[in-house]
Amino acid sequence: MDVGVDVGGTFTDFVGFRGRDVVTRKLPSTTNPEQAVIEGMQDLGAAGMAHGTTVATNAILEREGARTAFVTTAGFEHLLLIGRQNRPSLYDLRITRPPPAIPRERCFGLAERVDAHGRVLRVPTDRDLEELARKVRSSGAESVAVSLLFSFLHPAHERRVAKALAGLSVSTSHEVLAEFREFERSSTTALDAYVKPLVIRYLQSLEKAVRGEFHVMKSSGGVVSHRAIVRRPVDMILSGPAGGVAAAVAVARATGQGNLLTFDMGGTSADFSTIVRGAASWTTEAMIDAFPLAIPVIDIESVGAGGGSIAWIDAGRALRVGPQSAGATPGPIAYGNGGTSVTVSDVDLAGGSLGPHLLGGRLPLREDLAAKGIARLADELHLSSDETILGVQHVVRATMAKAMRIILARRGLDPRDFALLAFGGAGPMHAAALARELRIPRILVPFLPGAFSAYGILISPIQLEYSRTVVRPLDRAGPTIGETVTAFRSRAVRALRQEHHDSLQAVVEASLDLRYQGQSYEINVPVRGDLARTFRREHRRRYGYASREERIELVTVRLKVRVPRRVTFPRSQGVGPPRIARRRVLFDDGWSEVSVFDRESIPVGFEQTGPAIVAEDHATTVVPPGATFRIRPRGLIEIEVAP
Amino acid sequence: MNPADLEILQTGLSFIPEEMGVALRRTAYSPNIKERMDASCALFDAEGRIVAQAEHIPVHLGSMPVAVDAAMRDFPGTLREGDQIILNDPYRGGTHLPDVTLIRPVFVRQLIIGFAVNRAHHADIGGRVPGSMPATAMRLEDEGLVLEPQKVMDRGRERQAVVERFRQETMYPAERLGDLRAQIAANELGARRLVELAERIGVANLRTSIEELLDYGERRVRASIGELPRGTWSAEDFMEGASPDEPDRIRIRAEITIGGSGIAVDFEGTDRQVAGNLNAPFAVTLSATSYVMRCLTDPDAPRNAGALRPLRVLAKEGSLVRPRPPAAVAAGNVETSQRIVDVLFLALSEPLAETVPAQSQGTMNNVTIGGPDPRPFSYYETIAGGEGALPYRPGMAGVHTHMTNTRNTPIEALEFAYPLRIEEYRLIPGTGGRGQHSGGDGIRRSVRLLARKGTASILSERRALRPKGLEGGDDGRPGKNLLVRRGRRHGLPAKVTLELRLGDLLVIETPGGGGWGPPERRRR
Repeated sequence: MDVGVDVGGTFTDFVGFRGRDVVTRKLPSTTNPEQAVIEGMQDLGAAGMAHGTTVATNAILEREGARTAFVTTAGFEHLLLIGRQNRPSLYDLRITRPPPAIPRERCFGLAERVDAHGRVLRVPTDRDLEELARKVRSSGAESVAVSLLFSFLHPAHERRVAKALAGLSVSTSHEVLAEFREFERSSTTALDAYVKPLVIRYLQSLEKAVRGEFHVMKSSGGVVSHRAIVRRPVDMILSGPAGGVAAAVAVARATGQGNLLTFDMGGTSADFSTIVRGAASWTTEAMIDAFPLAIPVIDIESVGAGGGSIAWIDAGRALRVGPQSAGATPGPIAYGNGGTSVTVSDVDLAGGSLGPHLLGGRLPLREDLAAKGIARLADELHLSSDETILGVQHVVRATMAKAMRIILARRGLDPRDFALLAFGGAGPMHAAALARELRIPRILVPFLPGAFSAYGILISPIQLEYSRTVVRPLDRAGPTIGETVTAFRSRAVRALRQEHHDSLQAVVEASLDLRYQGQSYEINVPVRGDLARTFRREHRRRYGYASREERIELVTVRLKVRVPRRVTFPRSQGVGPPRIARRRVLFDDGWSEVSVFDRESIPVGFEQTGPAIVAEDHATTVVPPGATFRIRPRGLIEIEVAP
Repeated sequence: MNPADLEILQTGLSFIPEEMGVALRRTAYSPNIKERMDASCALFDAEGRIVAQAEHIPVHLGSMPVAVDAAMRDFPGTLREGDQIILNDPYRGGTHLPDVTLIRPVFVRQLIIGFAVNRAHHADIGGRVPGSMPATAMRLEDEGLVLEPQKVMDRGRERQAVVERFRQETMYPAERLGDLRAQIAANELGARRLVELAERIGVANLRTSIEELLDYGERRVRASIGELPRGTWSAEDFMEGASPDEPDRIRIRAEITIGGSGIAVDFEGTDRQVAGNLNAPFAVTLSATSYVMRCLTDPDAPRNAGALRPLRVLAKEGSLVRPRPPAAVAAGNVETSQRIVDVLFLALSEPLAETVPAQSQGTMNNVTIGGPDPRPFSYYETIAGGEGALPYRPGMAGVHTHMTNTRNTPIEALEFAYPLRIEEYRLIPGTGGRGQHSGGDGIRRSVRLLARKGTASILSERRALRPKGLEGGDDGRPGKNLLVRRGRRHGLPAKVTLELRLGDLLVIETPGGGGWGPPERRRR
């Protein structure tokens, strides 16, 4: 059996299949994340693994990466420090730029220059290269990022630097991201160098636990082998939420519900993304901390709103929730671990949405403590406890609705064309109320909503991405496009063969970033049919007009290669009449006595009008009055939300 | 309203201008709006009070209400559904000519319930030089196309007279009109959202809710003013004059009173308006003052009219900070605004010694290069410098401070687009003032012209007068402008328009920030 493994801050999730029977484990994450992973693999007797890890992301956030040096064209040494020359906060003087991953004294210049046509203006001398190598080595750097101006047009200088630094871990920008915009390319290259040694060590420590295939999740929504990822560990950064989105893509394709808004709410944050006509939306403008990560990653909007988010009263006497979180320790008051601040989970418990225990009974919740905390907060607000519970729920939803609207607005999408796919421990609980607020008519809650990311990692396709900036007029770019795409294809075929994948099964998508000459931003169009016409049509759609006279310019050629892996949906288990318990739940119009359905026991086709609750081990789905839920095949709950 | 509903409404209303900003950025045509986001969006109520403004550019913070006032005054009872007012006249609601403001009244059942407003910096608005930021203009007309408040949309139809002026008088009409239509569309979106909200909660309820939100904004700011020491303090600082007709030191003076009822700022003692373009329209003066108050009170308070209630600003008409027409103003917005901030912080450096920063670079180092070859081009950039150190941390190096926060143009993007080559873009070590916490370093940016000829305009400050250190910290080093022609270096003035030849190298060195505290106290 192969398993998908998702290492989170609190839990490490495992999902695999024996036939169509799903097998899962949820273990507490360990300080050395590999411990829990190895334990779970042995426990399940798993052979192969698809692995999602935040080890690279955390190394950056906590500045625990390698001692890294940066090499660029002389005169531009402080490129990474200046950035785009903006500051992080407009009015708050206390906020400064976060500390750089590479300090000023380990930034070095090399006397060399290539111009915008790829012509060499200055060749680096052997002496300069030796001198540079000496300085880099004596700086104590373990890893080096090399990013010279216009290296994507003429990579020879970067190659010579890499050669001079033989023996050190080196990342060159023409290999990491052969695209223009020097700060974004350099930053991406620096991140690659910064995490590389650590990623190599981490994956080596896991190797012995894996007897079959060993894949690693990328932020682009696909996986590659662990041998391939160490050559480009930058692809793992920000891959945390990608598993859930990859799983959502599978749901979209299997159900025919092609437009999905994903909503993943956990303990500290809520993540949103859009799936349009069965495809995840990607961006090249991602940031981690203050550092741009300009590779294509799944476009996710994250907001500090989760079960652990803390309710507080501000100086103007408004009730606020988050972004401060009670975390796993002490956690919400109801955990009984000494937490004193009211959290979203506390009000969910007191309002009856959340059942009396978590983790399938292993973590009992202290409703009495939560109620006391809420009463204190209610006093300060001059509200009743019930008003306070609803108030906290409404405020946290307003925050989430805003994040959701932002991600739709960025793409000019209308929420009414979407279904909301809710997962994560707290997602299905708040989904219906959120959908009403945004006028989204339908909700889907997948199977295993508490371990949906691990499932997504298990079924994600093998995916490779290539890109290169080759600026020239589109009407003279035919040969360049052909040559570049061919070169990318043969690199992909070689890479797939090395991993023993069938390259004949590969789905290949070539696309181009185009713009009118003189514009500073590009529109990505697929390589298919009349390119100029497609570009103008897309330009008109986005900007309301398109010129026939202005010259179109090719900027970047992209190729994405995908080899699908097996997608299994779990068998629906319920056969008999559903098992039902009762509890009181607080909705906007007061308390109701509500049926609590045991999810495993509900058969396909079952339908019921709310109020109702569907409970399972790691998540709770709330169906408010007026909404109707239905059990669909492939382990999905569908909720129709009447407005 | 209960404390939860208050927060929910605040979140919902403040999102409308944010969404307008997202739409504007997505559909705008020019890099200046798209990449540098030199634009702001806001929502006003029926009485012209600002209800929410997205966090975009500080220099637009306090000045947008002046634009809405102007539109309401000029069109009393004559606004209709589908109208939009356009303006950029600095004496009738604008700031400087490149900032073009669009105002859309929002109606429910033929009654105005509010206004959707946005302002964007256009890369060229006509006038004598490419980029419309001439270094030495003497009259407003020299700086470009002047639009007094007028309808650009009349009941949903574009008015050709306005469009035609853009076609005739600006350098790239296609880009201008692309941006203009994005601005119009952003306001339409804002209007739609406000109507949806009014329909959901009722017009009367919306009105009282807005009232409560403004009170909430006021409470937030007053709560922090209550923690400030009370008293009156004053300070002065100087601009560097530009032309032989001007004094070479132009005084800005301010007296600040923090009292039980709020903060009053009086610019009495500031010099008269000048012949050049350093004049700051009163809207700009308001923005700079609001900025300082926001930094020193509650930086996260809602950006609404209530939060501005505790602030009173006085300035004499005909002074540098409240000029009369037709004085030129292009540098008021980008340079004088920075000095106003310097003066206000300086005045408060004694009572608020634990909070106030040493002086930052105090200029935006505006550089415009344009020319006819190989096809007409105009490149505008503002260059970052050193931030002043704070009592508790060093200043940032190579960063935009105070009234601006626009991004740079990537070197590789610029060299693909223009006949220019950047030869150096790095920090200059030692330009930040030393101190217990040192000031941030300035930047050197060198640009070589690869075309036969071109015109360059530089608008800069702090080339002679240094950004001051505080509490014994050293001053930052002033900036420098140089021309290197055939290997020979020539010093250039702080404000200059000059003709460039093939191979000329323009070197701009930006000022460092002031240090804080005596350098000896620096921990090793």
